[in-house]
Amino acid sequence: MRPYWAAFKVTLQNTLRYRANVFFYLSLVLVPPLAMFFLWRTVLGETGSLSTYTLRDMVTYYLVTQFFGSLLPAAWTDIGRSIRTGEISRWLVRPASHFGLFLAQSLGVTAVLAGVSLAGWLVLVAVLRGYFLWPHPGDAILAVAFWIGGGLVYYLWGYLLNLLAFWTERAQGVWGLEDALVWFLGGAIIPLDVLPLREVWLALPFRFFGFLPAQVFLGRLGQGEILREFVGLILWLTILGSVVFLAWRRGLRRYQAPGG
Amino acid sequence: MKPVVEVKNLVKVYRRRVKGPGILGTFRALLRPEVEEVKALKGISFALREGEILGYVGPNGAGKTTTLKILAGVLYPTSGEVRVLGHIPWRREKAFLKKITFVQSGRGFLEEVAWDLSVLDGLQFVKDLYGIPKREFQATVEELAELLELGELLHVPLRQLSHGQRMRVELLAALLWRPKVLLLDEPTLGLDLFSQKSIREFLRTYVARTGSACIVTSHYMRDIEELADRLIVLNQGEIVYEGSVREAVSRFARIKWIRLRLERPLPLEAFRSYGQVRESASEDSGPEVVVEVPSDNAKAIAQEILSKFPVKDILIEEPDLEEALRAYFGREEP
Repeated sequence: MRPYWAAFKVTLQNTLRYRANVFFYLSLVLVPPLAMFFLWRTVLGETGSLSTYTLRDMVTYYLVTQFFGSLLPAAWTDIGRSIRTGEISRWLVRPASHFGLFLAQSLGVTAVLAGVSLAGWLVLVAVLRGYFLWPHPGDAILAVAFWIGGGLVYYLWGYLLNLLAFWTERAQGVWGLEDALVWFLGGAIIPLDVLPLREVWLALPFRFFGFLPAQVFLGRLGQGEILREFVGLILWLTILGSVVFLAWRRGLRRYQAPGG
Repeated sequence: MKPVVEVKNLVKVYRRRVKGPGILGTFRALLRPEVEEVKALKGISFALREGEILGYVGPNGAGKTTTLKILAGVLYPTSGEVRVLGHIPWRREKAFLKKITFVQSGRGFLEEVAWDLSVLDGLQFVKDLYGIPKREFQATVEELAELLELGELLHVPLRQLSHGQRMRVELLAALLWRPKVLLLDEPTLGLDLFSQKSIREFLRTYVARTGSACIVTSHYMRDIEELADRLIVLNQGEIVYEGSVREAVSRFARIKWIRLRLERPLPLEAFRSYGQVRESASEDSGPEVVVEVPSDNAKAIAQEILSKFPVKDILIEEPDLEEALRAYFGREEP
């Protein structure tokens, strides 16, 4: 674990050097949930509802999905670029897993942002306290557990997209799709269970990025459903983990190490 | 003594997409992608022993960097056998990766991971990455920082260093775990003469002290002349020479220079029939003429000149490695 802890620490140090960026990030944490609050208060009024979501459900849902969503560990596009330019070679000669080192680096950034996010989030909760539904502590812990699992799914997914660079020279289009997936299919725009074709969206792994932890946080899932979702999470982690493993191995065989 | 690096019949074929010029070519490549095969290495074999520095040179595209990338485990070969310290490099076992180092020119590893941090912070990261014990780390940093004259700079942020200083820091970082095989691809590229010299001296001392084996590619033949115990010259994926630097000059040099000190001034035209007259003058030692002649006929021409002209002193000079290889490979840099 020592190399990964080192990668985490060095990224933490690097990120803390850019204090200004961290404060800009605060505005990203504060603005979207506030905008959503005003939107849904206009749409639903104080007493209306959408499907099973009252205004208080909706506000809590957004605060949770935005908080969790903003802290997902990203597999940066740098990985795909480094495959195309050959810069990944510098990492291939290190005695540690590339996947693990980059995950640790991503968590290093997330750790810094988590502090800012939490501060911003507490401000929002205080401002919108009349609309915020406090969870049962057990639900809050389970929601965090699902969010951690979802974070790993998110990272595996992003990493896999980066590995496409072994096969295709340009994969930027895929990244546009990736953003849309996070925001929309993760449930950050609207809860997935109010969408048409909900069975389709709820079968995809993207629900773990925001929607599902928020559902658990709101106490909307029974024990049986939680267990089923947990099995689903493990299944997706296994599938994506295996695909990433195979893609990495096959990709390296194709890798031409340009440059130098 | 068993070689630390063994390469047998190494072949590497790259497949690359071909695209015609302009927008039409782009569309055509999208619809009907064409792939061509480029043979970067055509079955090369060589070995390297402990404590040996091998100069690995050749013109651009000869296959030098490809070889180093295969030895470092970054590239899979198409066919052939490679063993580095008994390991098959492309399996990239941790035990193997902790015994080698691969230094490429361009953006360094520390630059990527610790650009905004101090040199020491970056080195600490390398220490943890390679699991170097604290005491060994301190001793190595102290020793290498002194050799590389970096002692004062360990607490300075990496981004505030000059290019030459950064390259020396990268070299320090690349040797922290005391690798047994050094794969150095253009370690002095883009550096001023002073920095080049200091890196050469450092490498020489390092290899002598540790007994590591080292393969170095460089476009600066001065690096090779001063560093290499043995030389391999590669051209179009094939080894065209393997031996000492001295013999390489005799082998590749197509010209020699006959330096003549004359008893009295003579018109340069008198020597033009033998070859190109490259320089004359030198007031303190009398009139001097240098004639560039084909190396095969140098002796005969020198004898003829001696018999025909009032020559006080004569010297036949060989070009250095750079001149020799440049002459052999044409205008391209070796």
